[in-house]
Formats: sequence, C-alpha cells, structure tokens
Amino acid sequence: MVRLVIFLTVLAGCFEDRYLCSSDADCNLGEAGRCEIDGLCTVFDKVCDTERRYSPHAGDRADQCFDDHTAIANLCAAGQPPPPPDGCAQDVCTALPACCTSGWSEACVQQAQLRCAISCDTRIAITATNQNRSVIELWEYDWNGSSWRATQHTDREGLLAWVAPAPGELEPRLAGIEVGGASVLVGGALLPAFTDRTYQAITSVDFDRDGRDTIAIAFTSDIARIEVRKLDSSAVREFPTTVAFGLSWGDTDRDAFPDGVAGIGTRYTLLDNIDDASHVRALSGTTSSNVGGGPTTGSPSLRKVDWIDIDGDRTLDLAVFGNQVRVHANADRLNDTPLVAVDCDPLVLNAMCSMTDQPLNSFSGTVLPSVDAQLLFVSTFPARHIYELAVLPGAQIGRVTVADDCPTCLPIIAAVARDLDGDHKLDFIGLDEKLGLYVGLAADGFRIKQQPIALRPTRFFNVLPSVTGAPSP
Amino acid sequence: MRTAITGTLVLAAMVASTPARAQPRVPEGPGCSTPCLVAKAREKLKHGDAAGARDILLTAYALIPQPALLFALGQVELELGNNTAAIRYYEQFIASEPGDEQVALAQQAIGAARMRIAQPVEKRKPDPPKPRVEHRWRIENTGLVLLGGAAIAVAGGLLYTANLQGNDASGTLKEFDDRLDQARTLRLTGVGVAAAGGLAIGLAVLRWRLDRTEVRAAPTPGGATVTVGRRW
Repeated sequence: MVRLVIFLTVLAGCFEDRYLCSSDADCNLGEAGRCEIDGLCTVFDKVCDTERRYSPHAGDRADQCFDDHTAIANLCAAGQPPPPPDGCAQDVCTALPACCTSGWSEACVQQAQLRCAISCDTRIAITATNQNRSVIELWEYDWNGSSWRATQHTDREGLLAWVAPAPGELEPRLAGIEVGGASVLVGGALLPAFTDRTYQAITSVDFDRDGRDTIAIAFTSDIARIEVRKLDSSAVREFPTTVAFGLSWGDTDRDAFPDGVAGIGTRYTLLDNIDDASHVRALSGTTSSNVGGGPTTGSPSLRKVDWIDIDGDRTLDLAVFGNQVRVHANADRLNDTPLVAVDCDPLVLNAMCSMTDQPLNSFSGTVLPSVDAQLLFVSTFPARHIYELAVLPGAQIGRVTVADDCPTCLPIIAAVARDLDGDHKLDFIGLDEKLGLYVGLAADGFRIKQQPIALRPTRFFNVLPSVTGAPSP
Repeated sequence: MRTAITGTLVLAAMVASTPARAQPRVPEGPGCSTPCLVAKAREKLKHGDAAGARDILLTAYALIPQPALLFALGQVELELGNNTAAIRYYEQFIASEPGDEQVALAQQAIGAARMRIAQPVEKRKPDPPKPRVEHRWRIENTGLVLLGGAAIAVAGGLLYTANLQGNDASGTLKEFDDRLDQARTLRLTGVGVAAAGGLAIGLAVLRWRLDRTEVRAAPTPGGATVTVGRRW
C-alpha cells in the first residue's frame, strides 16, 4: 500500500515547473517581471548583483539570482556583457573588477592587452566633421599587425562607430547611419532612424545586465537623448539626458551597472544607470561638471572622455579632454569635482592659466595604462605638444614628459591607445586635423611617427575615433 | 537375530542333509527335498521374508519333523514378533531332548521372547486431523472492493488532469502559476483518493483473510464428529 502511494505520488509529481516566456508581458507574476534571454522569467530583487532573481517557475534555476556573465569570444572589443572571471578575464578583473561586474569596456580591453596572452588587430572608425557639420567624412583605419589601411565609407553618413560583436560572435560590427538617414545600421541590422536627429554616438552596452544584444544611440533633436534598443526584440527606451556627445560607458557609482558619460558644450554629465520606480533600468544625469579654461578658437570645448584606474584603487576613473584635462577619481562614486585639472601649455596642474593663455589651449588625448603606471597622453591644440603624464596616488602628477614637440605640425585632435606591436604594452595612436595618423610605440619610447596615410584636404573641427579589434592569428 | 536365524537354518540344513540313523527316513517331496526347502527358507530370510521362510520351514517340518527345524521355526516366529508361538516352538525343541548346549540356547531364546512379551507395546497416537480452514467472502467485502476501485479510478482521472494542467506552459506566468497550484491540489487530492481506495480494497482483503471458518473432523468409536468453529 505504501509503495502504491509513493508510486502514485511520484507519477503525479512529474510537473515540469519551468515556464518559458517570449516577452516581458508574459512575466506578470512578482515585481517587475522580465523575460530573460534564456526564456525564463525574473523578478526584481535588490539582493542580486543584477537585481534580478529567477521566478519560482524557472526549472533548475528557480529562485537563483540571474547572471548575465557571458563568455566573451573576442576580448579585443568593448561594449560586451561582463565575462565570468576566469582565464584572461580573471587577470583583468583582478585589476579592474568592474570588467566582470558592469561590463567589458575599452578599459578592460586595454587591461587584457596588457595582462593576457592575446593579440588583437586594431580597427578605428573615424567620424570627422567640420565645425558646422556641413562636411562629414567617415573613415576606417585598420592595423593588421604590419600595416595600416584607410578606407573611406561612403555607404553610411553622419556617424561611423564600432560596436561589439553580436552575442557569441567574433567580429565587431560597424555601425552608422544609412545614406538618406532612414536607418541606423548595426552590422547587418537595420534600426529605425529619424532625419530630425543628429546622431552623436552609437555604442553597445549591457545596459540592463540582461546579456541581450543592446545598442545605445546618443542623438540630439529637440534636446539630447539616449536611446537604448534591444536588437533581438526591438524593444526601445529613450532617456532625455540632455547630453549626447562622446557617449562612453564605465561605472561611476560602483553599483555594477554600466553608467554613461556624455557631454554637450562645456558640460559633461555622469549618467547613472538607476533602477526606476517600476524597477526598469534608466539613465539619470544628476551629476554634471564643466571643463573650465575658456573656449579655444577652432576647437570644441569637449573632445573625449576615457576610463582608467588612475589612482590604482581598482575602480574606473574618468579622464575628460577638452578645454582642460580633468580626472575624476573618487573611490566610492565619481562626483563633479575633479581630482586633477590640467590646463595651459606647458601643462599646469590644478591652477588657472592667465586670461591671455586660456583661449589658446585645448587638449585631446587618451589614457594609456601600463601594468605599473597609469599614463595620460595629452596633446595640445593648436600648437602641437604631446605630453605624457603619470598621475600618482594623491592626485600628484609624478612625471611630465614631452613625447612630441612640433608646434608647427598639424595638431593631434583625437587619440586612442592599443597594443599595435604585440608586446603587451599599449601604444599611442593619434589623428590630426586632416586625419593624418601618428603612432608612438611603447617599445620605441613613444616617439611619435606619422604613418603613410594620405591627408585629407579639409581641416576637421572634430574627429571622433571609435576603436575595436578582433583576435589576430 | 538374523545371524542367529541363519545359523539355525544352517544347523537345520546340516541336520536335514545328514542321514540320522535314529530318525526315520522321510520321503522327499516331489519338487524339493528337505535340504532344498531349508535352502529356500534361508533365501527367503535373506530377502527379509520371514513369513515366507516360516511357511517353507513348516513344510519341511511336515516332511521331516526334525527338532532342529523347531528351533528354526522358533527363531522365525520371534522375528515375526509372534513371541508366544516362538516360545512354543522352543519348548517343543527342548522337549526333543537336544544337547545341553542347544537346550541352553533355546532357554535363552525363550527368555528373550518372554522379555518382549513383558514389554509394553507403545503405539504412536496418530496426529489429530488438521482442521480445514475456509475463508468466507462477504458482500460487504465486494462493496469495499468496488468502492476502492472506483476511488482509484477517480484518482487516476484527477492525476491525469493534474498532469495535463501541470505541464501546460501556455499563457502568462501568472496563469501558469495558477494552473500549477491547481494541479498540485488535484495531485494531492488524487493521491489521497487513491490511497483511500487502496485502503478500502486492503480492508476487504483483510476482512476476507480474518473471516475464517475451521472445519475439524474427528473419528470416534461410534462413528465421526465434525466440529465447525469460526475465528476472527
């Protein structure tokens, strides 16, 4: 009799307690249900890193925290979900934990090139505009390990940028605006575009920590906005951020969700990735700062924002290049007060230039970390001097080295840092006003050398580089 | 005893085969002479047929009434358990005035026979006949089985429905959750009803097993009696 009851219980107990959803609307049980990429429902739970917990009807994952960690096939490309901390990612995330929590950003790629036995090719998408944007040229500069190749893109307009490979893929995707402005192209995907928008940035980011293929597009129309779009579901959200220029992703509030930084004019705003009232991620730009130093004729007030752990506390700090060079490096969360502000030429730390000098200098540059030093490469405008700054703990500039001194040369107005020669040291790559390309190899003491790429006839006002790469054989 | 008898027969055979001057000549039978009959008796004894041996010895004694055959007959009767007959033959043998040694043997044999007579006869009582147990199936048991069967059938339906509902993942998560709750309730109910059905059937079987009637038959000098008893 007991056996019969047990048998019947077992027979009747074979419910597959696993519900598969196809949209968020399906997940209408619990707080702020969401349909995840694995087809299981999650609900809001502040305890979990991703603030998401699987529903009780998620099979063997029931009631576990949702985990968006995804093995990354291409560690040379930024804008991907955080990888599990093993192999190369473990080395990177030991130095920069945010890489395995908030996402794989350009700072993580740089650390991977420094610390792992990987070799990447280098691909730079360039959007070059004159001051009133009447001339826009889109170029792709590719370094294959031995030579550069420049390709002009006339199949797109307005903007050219690299975004991360599609999930599970190796090749980064080239993004831009379709000629005629009807669509945003991301790889082979067509997203709706609107002609009343001026597109400022196209990036990929694991914005919701859901592991889905997510694109963030910054644009200005009536005001500046950022659109977060899921490529697999076409779901779209729009945030009126009032800033759009130079959108870049890191972690400003140390909450393991990717935060943005973008600018407009002299202002740049930290865009906190927050949990809104309905427990959906949103962008909140409550912290803003302005690059001081006064405007410089022929130069935008803001050129670029970069991420680096400048003070060695294993958190991402922010470097802003424009009328000044400003570094924000608070341990808990970044605020509007910079740790370091640099102006003038020669460089002056945390001091005002004279009113005469202020309008004469603005800056472009890049962060250039190494295993044992955190460097900023700063290039002055309009007279070209390139400085190598080592920032020490305590916000002290420990060393200022002139890497290049050519006041009569075309100024370098955009720069990135990647390992070009495979020596696991980052090299300097700069672009001048006519898209001339300059490289300073670490192995060569960062001696700046112009590369054999033909100069354009136009002197561009703004040059926006978007860098990526793929593992090279 | 068998050796002694055989020895006696041998003795008898020797007596039979040796012409005795004092004994009248006995005509031999048409088929078998006295030694021949003694040999046959010996053969019978060899195969455990004491009665057969006695018949042959009696035949031989009828042909030639030799005293030694009396001794042999006494031994055969002793073997057959006819102690009184055996004593009679031994006494006849002694009366024929054999030698002292043979008289002593005969006396010894008589003593043995008398001891046997004096021993009480122990007879094993036969086992009383086993009572025959009969189980009685009552109409209430049939009712219980039917009730239990019906309950199990209903439980099967409940479990089937629960299984369908529990594995239906259509609709929204809330709908799935509601269905799953309902399916679990159905499942529990089904298991409970199935258990109750099983219990009812088990109870019927138990009642049948315990509802026993014992039929006992016993022989008596005046015939037989049959006792019927019930036990629960």
